[in-house]
Amino acid sequence: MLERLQDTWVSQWISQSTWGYPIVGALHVLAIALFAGTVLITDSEVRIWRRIGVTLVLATGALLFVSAPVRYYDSTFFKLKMVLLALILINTIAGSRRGISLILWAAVIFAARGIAFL
Amino acid sequence: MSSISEFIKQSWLFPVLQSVHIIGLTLLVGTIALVDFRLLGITMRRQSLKQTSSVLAPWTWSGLLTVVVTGPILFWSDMTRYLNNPAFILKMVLLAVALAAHFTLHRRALRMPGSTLQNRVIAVVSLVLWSSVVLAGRAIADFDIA
Repeated sequence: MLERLQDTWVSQWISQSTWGYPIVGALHVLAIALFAGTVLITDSEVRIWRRIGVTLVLATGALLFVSAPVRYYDSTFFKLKMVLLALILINTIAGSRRGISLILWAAVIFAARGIAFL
Repeated sequence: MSSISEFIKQSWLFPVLQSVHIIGLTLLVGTIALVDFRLLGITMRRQSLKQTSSVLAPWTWSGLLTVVVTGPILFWSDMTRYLNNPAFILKMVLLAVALAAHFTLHRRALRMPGSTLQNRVIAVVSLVLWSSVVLAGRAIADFDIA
C-alpha cells in the first residue's frame, strides 16, 4: 500500500521536483512557528490562527509523508514522533496541562530532526 | 578545522543543536508573525498593539538569542558545506535584510501604532522577509553541492 502511495503523482511531484519538497517542508516549519506564536498568547480571536496553524501543519506533514512513505514508515524517529503527537492529542483531550504540552512539543521537534539523521 | 567542530558535525550534537535552532526559530518567527497580524488588524483587535507586542517580546528575544547562539555553532561545525551552499548564502542575505527591517521599520511601526497604510506595508514586508528566511533555511538541506 505504501508503495502504491509512493507511485501517485502527488508523491512523485513532491519528491522529484526541485521545489516541491523544500516548499512543503518550509511551509511545515512556518505553520509550526505560527502555531507556537498563537500558543503563547491568550486571546479568543487568536484561536482561529491556532486552528489555521494546526491544519497547515497536519496538511503539509501528510504531504511530506506521502512524498516518501516507505522511508518514513521505516524510520524509528518518525514512529517516535507519531507516538509523541498521539500523546499530545491525549493531553489536549484530557484538558491540556501546559508543562506537559510544552515538553512534548519540544520532544516532537527533536524527534523530527532525528528523522533526517537516522 | 578544529577537532571540536569536527566532533559536533559527526556526533548526535549536530541534530540536537539543529532541533534547538528550530525551536528558537519557531519562537522568533511565530511571535513576529502574530505582531504583524495585529499590525494588519486581522486579529486580536480587542488588545492594543502595545499589549500584544509586550506579551510576545520576551519570547521573540528568547527565540532570537537561541538562534544566534546555535546558528553560528552549526555554521562553524561544517563551514565548507555552508559556504558552498547557495541556499545558505541566500538565507544570510535575507536574514541581514530581515533583521535590519525589524530593528528600523518594524520598531517604528510599534512606536507609532494605528492601522495606517504604512504600518500595513511594514507588516507585509516583515512577514515576507521572515518567511523567506525560513524557506531558505529549510532549503539548505536540499541544495547541498557535494
